[in-house]
Amino acid sequence: MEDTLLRSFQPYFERLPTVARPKRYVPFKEKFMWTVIILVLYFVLSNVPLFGLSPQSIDLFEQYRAFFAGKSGSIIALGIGPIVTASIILQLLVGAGVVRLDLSKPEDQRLFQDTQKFLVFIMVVLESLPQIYGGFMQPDPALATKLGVGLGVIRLMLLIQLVIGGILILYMDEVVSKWGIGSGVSLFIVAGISQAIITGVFNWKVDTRGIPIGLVPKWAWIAQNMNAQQILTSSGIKFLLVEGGILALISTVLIFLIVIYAESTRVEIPLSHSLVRGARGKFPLKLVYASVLPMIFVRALQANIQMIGLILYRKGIEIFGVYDGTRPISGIMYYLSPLRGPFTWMPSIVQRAHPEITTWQIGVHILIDTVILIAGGIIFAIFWTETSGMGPKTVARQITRSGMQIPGFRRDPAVLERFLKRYIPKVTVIGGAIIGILTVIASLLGTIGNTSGTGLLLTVSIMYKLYEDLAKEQAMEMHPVLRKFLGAE
Amino acid sequence: MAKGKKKTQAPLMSSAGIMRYYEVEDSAIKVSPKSIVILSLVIAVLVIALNAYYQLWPRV
Repeated sequence: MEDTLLRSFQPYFERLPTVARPKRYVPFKEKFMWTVIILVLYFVLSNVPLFGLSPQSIDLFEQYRAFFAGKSGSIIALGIGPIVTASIILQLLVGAGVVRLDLSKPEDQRLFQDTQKFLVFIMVVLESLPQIYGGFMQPDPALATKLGVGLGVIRLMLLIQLVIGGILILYMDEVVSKWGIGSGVSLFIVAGISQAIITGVFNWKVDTRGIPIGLVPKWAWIAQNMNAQQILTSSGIKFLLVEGGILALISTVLIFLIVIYAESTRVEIPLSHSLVRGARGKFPLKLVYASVLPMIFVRALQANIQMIGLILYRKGIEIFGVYDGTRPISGIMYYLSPLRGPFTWMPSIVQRAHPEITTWQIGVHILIDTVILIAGGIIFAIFWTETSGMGPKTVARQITRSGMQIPGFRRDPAVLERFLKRYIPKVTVIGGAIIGILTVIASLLGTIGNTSGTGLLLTVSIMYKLYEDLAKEQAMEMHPVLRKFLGAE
Repeated sequence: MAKGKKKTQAPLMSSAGIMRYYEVEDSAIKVSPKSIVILSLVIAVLVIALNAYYQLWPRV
């Protein structure tokens, strides 16, 4: 795709409505208010059931709720899936140079923004269609008879509701991004995962074997129903660790700590001002340079592959893999599926439900997922730094523009760029690999509430960033002069 | 010091990896945030009312 082709569409893209930007400085209180309003609205919408949906429906996104947000069976069942997918597609196209855009130029930024929004609309429709016509969301036959219409009409009604829900999410996200704190996308992810963790700790409902699902009720159940002799055997300890959720608890706490540690670890490059003598500064290069962003991309890519596999399987094409519910159990789709806690790889547990999966197959699955995560982490991190203006060239320009230089080096962007080239690519690769390894560990151990390692990683990282944002906002409130300094309007 | 970097990084990180350039965006049609909230509520009430009318909500 040439960017000239894209540019010729721009006038049409610009017809898409946008949320008005605030024309004045929005005080912190007001920002907070908008964020809360949208959050409440999000929870309200997630409790609005799709009109005409049969209870027999299957949730295509079930395993990926952690980062697609939304709620199955509700009007916002698509969640942020369309936004994330549209963004991945466009960023990959730009990152790979298929669409040539220079994102340091405002006019190209604008084209990027307009195209991205247009793509979200396309993805809303594209992700709704297989949900309904792939047979995952089924129309309610009782309602059809009551209304005296065919199932086709009900399907169309479902489609319209899904599309409306998807578009509402898009605009709610925009309201938070422009008028609130952070962005809607991150707000919805954090909301969903926090909810899953709370439920994972306190849920007293029982599973098929009569054991409570939540961590605390489960421990109470174990204390009531098992004695010390039963627990202190090797199988009892294993039961406690895996099914008792102790491993999940440990990995949840561990991820929290490691992510915060990694996010705050920086390689600092000393700077001095070229004109003001004695003015010193440091340029912090984050160790996890591209942060956990690559991981959403890897997992979202896997999610999309799995959905295609599932749709094909339900159409009777089994060469890519056979599914049990929404989980692949054989074929290439099994090996490509993301690991999600001990239940997806501990041979004794996997084979309880599916004895046909051999131990070496499980081994290959773990190996492949590890390679995908680490390699994917590195590749996407490199893409990221390049397309998002964190590459050596852009950073060098920024530092020079702010009047700073590295002491002992000439004040020249090219020199600075060469200096940064020694650090940034290495930090990017190491950071991508570290995040990949961390995700592997989290995915193997599982997390409380079964939120998937990636989801938790994302949440902690978003919350840490939100905390930094809040601190900045408050500083600006207290010292209005800082506002100009920190680059606010 | 060296605040230049933060400016490009902040919107990126807080939006979970989605790049946005709202400051350069422009459109012929502008909607106020209030109307988005009202529209969402109207749709929510409408769909719930439809469900309730046909006794599909609350489902036990």
